[in-house]
Amino acid sequence: MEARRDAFVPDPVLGGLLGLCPLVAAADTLADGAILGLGASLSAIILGAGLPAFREFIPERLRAPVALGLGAFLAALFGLAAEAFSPALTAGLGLYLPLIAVNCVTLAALRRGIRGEEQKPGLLRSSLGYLLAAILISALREAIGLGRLTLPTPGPFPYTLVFVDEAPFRLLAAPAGGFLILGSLAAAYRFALRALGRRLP
Amino acid sequence: MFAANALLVYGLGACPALRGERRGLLVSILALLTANLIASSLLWALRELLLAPFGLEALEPLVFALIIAPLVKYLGRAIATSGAPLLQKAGAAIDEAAVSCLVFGIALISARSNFGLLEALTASIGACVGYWAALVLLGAVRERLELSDLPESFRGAPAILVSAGLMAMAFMGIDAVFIGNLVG
Repeated sequence: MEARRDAFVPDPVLGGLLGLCPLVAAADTLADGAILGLGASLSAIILGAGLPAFREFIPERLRAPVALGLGAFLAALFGLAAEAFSPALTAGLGLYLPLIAVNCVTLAALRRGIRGEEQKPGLLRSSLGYLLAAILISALREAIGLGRLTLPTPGPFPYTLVFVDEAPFRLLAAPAGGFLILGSLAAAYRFALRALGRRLP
Repeated sequence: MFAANALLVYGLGACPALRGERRGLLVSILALLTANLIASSLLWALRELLLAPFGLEALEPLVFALIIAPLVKYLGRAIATSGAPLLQKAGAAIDEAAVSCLVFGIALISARSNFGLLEALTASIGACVGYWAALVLLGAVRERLELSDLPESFRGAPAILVSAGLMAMAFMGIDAVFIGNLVG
């Protein structure tokens, strides 16, 4: 049953309610969602895959602080890389790029890495799931809320697909809309799980 | 506290709040205030004295992870080993909260707002009280929802997320103009 449930990739967000803070607040455009999702997913993959290999070289008492420092280093590095990729896109993400260091998805991978648990298939699935959920939620918020999609293109002027000139449902781009979209998607996810006879999260 | 609520506007600490992790009211507010006041004052001081003068603001996550979080954790453990049961519970809660987006997020907001130390600490206290108020209100909504006849797929997390969205809409309306009209 567990293996069948694992096949559903958006599980960390829609099932486990992990890593929600950037998704409900900052991910109001497709580009923002993709950048934040990529940052947390990459950090989780690097920490989850890398820490078990190094844990034996680090004294047990120092494992947690070293791992946390490594996570923060990755978040700082990703923030600088994202800013170099597109200053226009990262301008609105200010608070949430450093917060990648303490994103629940990153911290979960970090804790498993410190304990040395073998987790490669599950780690890839949950990280990919987080990225997909971030892209899906931010795309829905921007498309329905603002009537456009901002693509994560490099340079000072990101490419934007405009569907309608007037924002049709601006509330969805606000944090309140983030909660509403996330709640609706979580309900749809549970409905799909039940319809397929799989375990509810 | 309301229009820029830490939970409903910034989404900070959303995961534990929406999963319904509960502690006593007094324990949670004590832990929140202690952890956030220490983290906010330290981040403000380190940012103003060490990072900003050299243009090193990008290192904020490292400063938090290597200096602030361990200090807050240490303090939490020290409080947890003290005698009184309330302080023990609060200490354990501070220890857990030390590495969280709530503590780091509130510290970042306070430090980045170009406030003086006193203003940053006041903003931090306001953010904690706002988060705590939203948590208490969501807890009450959760209890009502548990007794409601909702469709199976909406029970639990989806219903509480939609409720948080509606509550966030209500909080958006409580701004300076609203308070001004209320007071006259």
